[in-house]
Amino acid sequence: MNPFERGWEGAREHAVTVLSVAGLVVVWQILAMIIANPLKLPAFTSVISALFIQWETILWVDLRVSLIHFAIGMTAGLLIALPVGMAMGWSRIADRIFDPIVELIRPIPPLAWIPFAIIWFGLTPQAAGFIVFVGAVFPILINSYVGFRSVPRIYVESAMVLGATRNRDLLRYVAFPSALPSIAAGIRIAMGIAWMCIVAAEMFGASTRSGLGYRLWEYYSLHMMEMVFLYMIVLGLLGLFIDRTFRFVVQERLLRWQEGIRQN
Amino acid sequence: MTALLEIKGLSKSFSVKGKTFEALREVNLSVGEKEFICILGPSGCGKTTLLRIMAGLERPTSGEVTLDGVPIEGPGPQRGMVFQEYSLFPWRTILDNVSFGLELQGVSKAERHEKARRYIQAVGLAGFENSFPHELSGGMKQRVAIVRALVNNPRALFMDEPFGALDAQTRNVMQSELLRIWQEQQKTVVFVTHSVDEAIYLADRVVIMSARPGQINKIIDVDLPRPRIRTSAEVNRYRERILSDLKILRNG
Ligand SMILES: Nc1ncnc2c1ncn2[C@@H]1O[C@H](COP(=O)(O)OP(=O)(O)OP(=O)(O)O)[C@@H](O)[C@H]1O
Ligand SMILES: [Mg+2]
Repeated sequence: MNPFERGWEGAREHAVTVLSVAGLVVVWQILAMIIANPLKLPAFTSVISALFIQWETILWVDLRVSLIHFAIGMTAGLLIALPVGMAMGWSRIADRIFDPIVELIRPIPPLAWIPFAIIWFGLTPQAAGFIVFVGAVFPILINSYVGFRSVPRIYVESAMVLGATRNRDLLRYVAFPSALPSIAAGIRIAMGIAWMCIVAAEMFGASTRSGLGYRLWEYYSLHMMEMVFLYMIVLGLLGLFIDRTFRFVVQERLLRWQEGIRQN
Repeated sequence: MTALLEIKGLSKSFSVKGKTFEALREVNLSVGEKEFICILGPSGCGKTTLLRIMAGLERPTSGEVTLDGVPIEGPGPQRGMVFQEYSLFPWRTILDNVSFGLELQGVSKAERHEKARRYIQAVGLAGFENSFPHELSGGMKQRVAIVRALVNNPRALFMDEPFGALDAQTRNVMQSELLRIWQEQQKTVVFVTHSVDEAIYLADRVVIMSARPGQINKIIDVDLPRPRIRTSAEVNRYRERILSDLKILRNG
């Protein structure tokens, strides 16, 4: 395929995407006009006008607060899950110690922690951050564990005969890069779950009175459904954006070496 | 020739599900400095096990291996190893694979890359420095694996059927290249193979092992000048002799 054809192919693919989204919007608008009940289905146009009214609050207040919750939860999740997952995957003793604890806590749904989050942290961003943490920590932990446990022996032994005899070197030069694809997949799953936890935690008021989820619920109680819809769309687009950015950064940069391996 | 490696009364048993299996029994061998040894023997006779013990990846049940009189306790950069499977780190470029050993020794980036580049060039892979292993053919990968071990400047190089997965053509090329490197760098090589032809083409001495338990059965000096002609009458005589030795082993 020559570059021109590839460019054409790409343009056509984009055109299809744009058309399908546009089609969805048109169907939505027509449906809303037929139903003619803004409570049941606000029209596309009223959601757009809601955006004009609301965009500053969304951008500077709610989005900021939600991203703070996200950052607190994900950072804490990574700080706990990576070392524990690594230790469990690499050392049998650590596995024995942590495994029962993990298996007992893991099945508790993150949202069940909301009461304790509020008691422990009060109505602060840390409370919502804690819920996000509980949601994010296990996927990262499990995937790190699997990644570190299934480091192919041939690479470990190769490194050893090349002079990597200290455990530290083996971890750094072999186990970590080998586990990275699995860890990255875990982080991606965790971010998806974190995003859901944010909305729920904020709806329950487990933070300051703001955030995308909090505001969505607030407008629901005011029956301003075009605002509810607007916040839903913002949540969706933001989740998509975070996922895509992560995938781009990690897969295109860090995991470039994997390309051919996955294809073969 | 002074002995570099001494294998003395080496035995190795594995216990699997409570049953012990004797993989090696009373192996004695001394390998001289700059010598090229090939090990031949039926599948399961313990060739890989012997090599892994020499590399320090496995502990013997009894006996010992010494390098320069010092017992081998574990793996180390003094003894390089090329595995039968492809063992390049898939997450490192060719350049970073080859410079790995130097990186561990704390050699600066510029210096180790410069040295690695020279080695990569020497085996005809210039231009592939920034490729990842999955972009290389099997022969190219094994070439990289060989220079990755050589960059450490090891005293001895152990090779476990390194060309087993290659086609006949590539294999011949790789054998000549290995001999060239061996002559240039004056290394001691212990090379495991299934191919009698390969052994005769490469080795100063061919060690023939028998199975159950793994033992050294015979050691044959290949007294031929190099470069050897693969189809010469002398090579054929050696081939027949070794093949008949192996046949006797197989038929008990
Ligand atoms: N880690 C292990 N645990 C149990 N048994 C083992 C182990 N490693 C090797 N063995 C056994 O020891 C014997 C020798 O194995 P080894 O791999 O050294 O043979 P080999 O001569 O290299 O065979 P091949 O030519 O097929 O590579 C085999 O019977 C094998 O099953
Ligand atoms: Mg073997």
